[in-house]
Amino acid sequence: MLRFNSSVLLFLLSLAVRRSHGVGVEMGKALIISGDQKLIESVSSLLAPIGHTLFNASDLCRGWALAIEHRVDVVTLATELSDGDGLVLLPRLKQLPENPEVVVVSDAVDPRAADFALRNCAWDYLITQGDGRTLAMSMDQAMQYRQEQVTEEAPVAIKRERIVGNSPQMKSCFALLGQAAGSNANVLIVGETGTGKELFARAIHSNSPRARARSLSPEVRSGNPRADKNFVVVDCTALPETLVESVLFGHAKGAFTGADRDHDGLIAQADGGTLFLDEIGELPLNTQKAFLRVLQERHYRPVGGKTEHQSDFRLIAATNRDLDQMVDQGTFRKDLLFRLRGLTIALPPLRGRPDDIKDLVRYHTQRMCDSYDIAPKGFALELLDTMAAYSWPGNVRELVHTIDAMLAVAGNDATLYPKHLPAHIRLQVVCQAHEEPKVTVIGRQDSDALGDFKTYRNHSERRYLEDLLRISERNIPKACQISGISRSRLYEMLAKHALSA
Amino acid sequence: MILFYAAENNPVVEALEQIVAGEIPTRPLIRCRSLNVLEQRLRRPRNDIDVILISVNDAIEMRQLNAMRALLIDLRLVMVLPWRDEDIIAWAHKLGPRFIAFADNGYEQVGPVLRKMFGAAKVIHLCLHR
Repeated sequence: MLRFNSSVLLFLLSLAVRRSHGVGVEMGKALIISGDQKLIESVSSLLAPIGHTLFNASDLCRGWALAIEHRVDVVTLATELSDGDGLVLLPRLKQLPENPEVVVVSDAVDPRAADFALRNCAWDYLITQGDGRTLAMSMDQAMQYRQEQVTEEAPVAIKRERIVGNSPQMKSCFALLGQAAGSNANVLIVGETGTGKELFARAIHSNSPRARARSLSPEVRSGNPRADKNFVVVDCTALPETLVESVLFGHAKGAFTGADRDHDGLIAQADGGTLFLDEIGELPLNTQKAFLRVLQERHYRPVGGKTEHQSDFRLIAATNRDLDQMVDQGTFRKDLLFRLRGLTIALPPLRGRPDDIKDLVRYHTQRMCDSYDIAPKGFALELLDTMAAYSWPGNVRELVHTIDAMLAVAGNDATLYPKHLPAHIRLQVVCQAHEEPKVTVIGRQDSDALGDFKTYRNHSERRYLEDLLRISERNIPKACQISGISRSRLYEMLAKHALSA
Repeated sequence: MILFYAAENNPVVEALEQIVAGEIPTRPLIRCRSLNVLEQRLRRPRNDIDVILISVNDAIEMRQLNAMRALLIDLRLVMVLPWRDEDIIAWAHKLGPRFIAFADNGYEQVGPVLRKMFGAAKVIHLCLHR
């Protein structure tokens, strides 16, 4: 007996209605890359009659060619294909000019695959087990979303502050920034150190109605600092545990030795504006509890105080830590995490958006030359290529530091060359060019350089194992725990790549 | 290096110098005694500046500092304001300080805050140069 959940039933009903009203109207172009012929037929039978144009491919090579040729809106991508793991195609599909929505399908649950898919902006991750209806529903929703994107009015231009980037990943982040600025929801910004979380937080504030002075004249703005509501930074990494509550909530006279008068805290200073909790993962558990109450009730009590105070602040929090993992470990409150996640913006690491690196280099070099009162610098092409090839573990912050160091080394030289770069950067780029030429070009436009899948998979596996050994400090039980790989399988893989634990 | 801007010598500034020297003895403390000197220093490569500690005298000086806020971008800033005044606090927040203390009460908190910041900065530093 066939059993569907209610949303699938509703979808099937809507298909029937749309078939009767709009047959033949082309709604969008979709591509299914899967070796499961029954699944393809099932989806085609549901989506073709309502006007979607469908293409299909049974392997990666053909799928990639069709995606480029037909400029599709939605792609269904199976994880298991005859010529390799379908997921390797996901980042490349998302870099196409059309930035298609991608529904990843698998026959069995694989948490690592799901994590990879969703982190790379997949529309959905589905376990189909041959069920074409659920997949068709997801694809149809993605198609409708695309149509709404096209027909929506052009979004209001946002002030980007100093955020540079036009990659698809950054465009998605800017879209979320616009949404966040237009709402009053709590925002959680996640991303590695140096990805620009504070810049995004500031941009949300300055594009929001809480930065009221945007409508005032410059004269009024320059004379009245409170015309703009405050953007208050709370650096949780800088506050000792003994100070954090008094700094946040303020304190009453006599609350502790030396408290000889009442003092407002940062929550009071953020009234009407934005409170930015940077590195919220560092907030002590006791303070998390007190802060949760403030978020729920918008009331707080200063340390040692007897009366409640009110503050109308908008909360933006940021972290480079895995808060879900911290919840599992009991070091972060689950209820606070739920409150923080009104809207989540995940900032991509710089290595995930290599196309933005050259723009970032030009922008920050110009900015620093202006700041240091020196003539603008030119760039040797080799310099930009080298910088684009480097992995930037410290992200944009590291890039800015590197430019600063390069300008110091370059002195009066009119053009910046690779020789001006710090040695460790040049060394890494040279090594990776010789060791892994095929892997490093993934994600670029040169499809010829992609290489065969077996080689790619081997390189990726080796890199993963090297990272795993480094992160686990060569502790095998820890490595098994992180990777989810059994001990025997891990030893087998290490032996295969001649790596020692 | 800790860059310390304080235009005037007074008991709080002297105490701050001692606090910094006591809490972070391993880092040099460079004092700028005028906004011109501070500006000149910020117009040179700044990779060696770990934190800027700024002690503000009054609202006028606060506004002058705001006029040069483009030079303070990307630097970790700790401020000591003269007193709790809403305008001065609002100007200070435009500079995005990591911590604000007040000269008339509680400036001693700068010590433990700097010590904690330097613990974190060390981790970031190692991360960037691994």
